[in-house]
Amino acid sequence: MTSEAPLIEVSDLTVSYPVRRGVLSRAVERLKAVDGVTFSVRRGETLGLVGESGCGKSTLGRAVLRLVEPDRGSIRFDGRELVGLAAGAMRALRRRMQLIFQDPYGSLDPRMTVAEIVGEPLAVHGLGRRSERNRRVEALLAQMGIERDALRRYPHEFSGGQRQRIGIARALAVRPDFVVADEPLSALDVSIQAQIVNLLADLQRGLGLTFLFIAHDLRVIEHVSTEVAVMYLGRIVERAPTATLFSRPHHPYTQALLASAPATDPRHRRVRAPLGGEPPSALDPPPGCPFHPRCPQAFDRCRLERPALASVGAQHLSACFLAPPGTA
Amino acid sequence: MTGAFLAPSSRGRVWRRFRKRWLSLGALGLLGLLFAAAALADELASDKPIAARVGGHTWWLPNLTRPLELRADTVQTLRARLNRDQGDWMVEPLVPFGPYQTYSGQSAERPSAPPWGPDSDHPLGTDEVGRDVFARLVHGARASLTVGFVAVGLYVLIGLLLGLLAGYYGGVLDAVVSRVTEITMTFPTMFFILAVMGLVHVKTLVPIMLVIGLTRWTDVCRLVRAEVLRLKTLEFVQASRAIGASDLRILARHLVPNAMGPVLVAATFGIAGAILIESSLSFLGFGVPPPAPSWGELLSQANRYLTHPGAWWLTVYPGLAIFATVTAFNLVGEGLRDALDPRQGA
Repeated sequence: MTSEAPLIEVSDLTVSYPVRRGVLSRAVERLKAVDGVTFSVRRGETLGLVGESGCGKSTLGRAVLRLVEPDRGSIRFDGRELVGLAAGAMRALRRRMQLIFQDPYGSLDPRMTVAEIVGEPLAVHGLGRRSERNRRVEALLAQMGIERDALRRYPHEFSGGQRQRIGIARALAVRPDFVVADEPLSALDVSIQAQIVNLLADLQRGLGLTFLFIAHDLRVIEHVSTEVAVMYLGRIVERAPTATLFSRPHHPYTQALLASAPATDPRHRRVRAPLGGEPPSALDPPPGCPFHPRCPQAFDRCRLERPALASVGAQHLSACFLAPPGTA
Repeated sequence: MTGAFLAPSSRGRVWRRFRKRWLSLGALGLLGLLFAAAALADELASDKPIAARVGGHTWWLPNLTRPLELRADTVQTLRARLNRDQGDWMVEPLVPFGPYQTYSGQSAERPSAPPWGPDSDHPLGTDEVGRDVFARLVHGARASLTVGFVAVGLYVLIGLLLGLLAGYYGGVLDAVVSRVTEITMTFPTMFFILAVMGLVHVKTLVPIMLVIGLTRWTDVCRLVRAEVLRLKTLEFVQASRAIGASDLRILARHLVPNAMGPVLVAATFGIAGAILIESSLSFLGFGVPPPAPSWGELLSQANRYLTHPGAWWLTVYPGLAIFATVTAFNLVGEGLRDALDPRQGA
C-alpha cells in the first residue's frame, strides 16, 4: 500500500484571514491560520491531525477541500491541481471529496427531512433517478444503524450520535474517495464516540476511503490513524507513522501533548513535560521557534531561528533543533 | 395562508404555539371570514339572484355571469315577475342589492329620500343615492385585500431577492444594495403615491400597488440580509457547499426556507399597512374611481355628502371594517412573531 501514489498532496499551503479594525473596517492585518503546510495522504490511509484549539487544523481541513481559499500553495487531488480550479469543475470534483462536521446540530438543515439531507449530494450531482436515490439513502441509513422510519423525520428529533451518523451517511452517499473528518467526535458522549470511531473504521475498510482525521483527542487519533501530524500555530511541527509518534515523540510539543493525555496503557512510560500557558496569538507569533515560550527544553537558538521540518528518523519529521533520540 | 412557507416540522410547532394565543387565533378567524366575504361578495350581496327559473328559463349564477337577457332585471323586478304557479323559483343573495344599485322604486314603502338607516331590507343602511352599504362594504373588501396582498407580495419578492444577494455575496453588491435601501427608506410612500397619481392618469389600484411594492421592500430586504448573514455562518450552509451545491441551490433550498419566518411576520404587518394606505388614498379621492366601492371611498363619500348628520351608518361601518381588518392583521402578525420565536418552548 505504501508504494501507491498519494491521493492527496498538499504543499506549502497558506491560509490567512483579514483582521478588520477601526471605523472603516479596513483589513489592517492578516492572521495566518495555516502557514506553509506540506503533507500527503496515500490512498486508503488515514492522516491524523492533532493540535490545540485555534492551531488552524479545522482551517487546514477546509482549505484542503477548498471551502476556504488558500493564499498560496498547492493541493493536488488524484494528480489534479485544485488551487485555481474553475468553480464548475471544482463543484463536480466535490463528489469525490467530502467533509464530516464536528457539530452534529449545526451541520444539518433543520428544515429538511433526513431523506432530503442524505439524498442532497446525490441530487446535487444528478446521480440516479429519484427512486434509485431513495433506495440508496435507505441503504446508507441502514448501514449507519438508523431505523427506516427516520427518513421522513427532521434532525431535531434525533440524538447527537444519530445526527452524526446522518452526517456521515450524507458524506458517504456519493461514494467519495477522500473524506475530511473535522473533529467528528468532540461533540459526542464518550460511549457514542467509540461507536462512531468503529463505524468510520469499518467504512474505511469496506470502501477503501482515504481520511484526513482532525481531532484533539490523542487516543482517537492513535486508534484511527496510519500517520499523525501535529500542528502548532498554523504549522506542522512533527509528522510520523502513528506507532513511531506515540512511542518516540521527538518534538517537545508532541511530548507535552502525549504527557497531558490520560494513558491508555499503563506500561507506556511517557516523558513528563506538562504544558503551561496558552498558545501565543497567531497575529503576533514569537520570533524563532513558535513554541519556545512554552518549551521546557528551549535554548538560545530557539529564540532566534525557526526550525524547519526535518527528518529525525525513518518517515519521521520534526521541526525542532533538539537532536534526534539516540544520537544525543 | 402562512403555513405553506414553513417546513412541516416547524409548521406543527408554530401552529401549536400560535393556537395558544386566543386573541391572535380569533383575529385569524376574523380574517378567514373576511376572505370568505370577499370571495363570495356576489353571493352575499348582488342585484341578480344566485339561481332562478323565470318564465320557463333557468339561470345558474346570473349574479356572476350577468346574462344579457337579465340585464334590465334586478332581484326586485324578478320577484314581481316570479310566477310560482308555473314552477318559477329564485335563490336570492343574502342581501338582494348590488354595490352599484341605486334606489330601486320602493317609494310606496319609503316616503322619504335616502340615506336610509339600517332596516330589514338594508341591514347596514344605504347611502344618499340609495346604494346598500353592506353590498358596497363586501365588494369593497376585494379592493382592500387585493391591494394588501399584491403590494406586499411584490415587495416581499423584491426585498427577498435583494436581501439574499446582499447577504450572501456581500462586498460591493452588499454596499450598493444597502445604500439603495437607505435611500428608498427616506421616500414617504403616501406623498410619493400622490405625486405618481397626479402624473399618471390611471384611476385604478395598479399604480397604488406598484408604488407600495417599490417603496416598502426595505424592511424585508434588511431582515433577509441579516438572516442570511447569520445563516451563512452555520455549518449546514458550509455542508451544502462541501457537497458541491451551487449558489442557486444553497439560496433556494437552504437560505430562503430558513429566513422565511421573520419575513412572514413582516408581511403580515405590511398587509395591514398597505390596506391603510389604500383606504387613505381612496378617502382622499386618489384610489379607485368613485363608483367602484372601496372602504376608503365609502368613508370619503360619507364625508362629502354628510348633509345628514344622523346618518352614522355611512361612516361607522366602513370605519369599523378598516379598523377590524388592520387590527386583525396586526394581531396575527404578533401571534406569528411570538410563535416563531425560537426562545419559546414547544
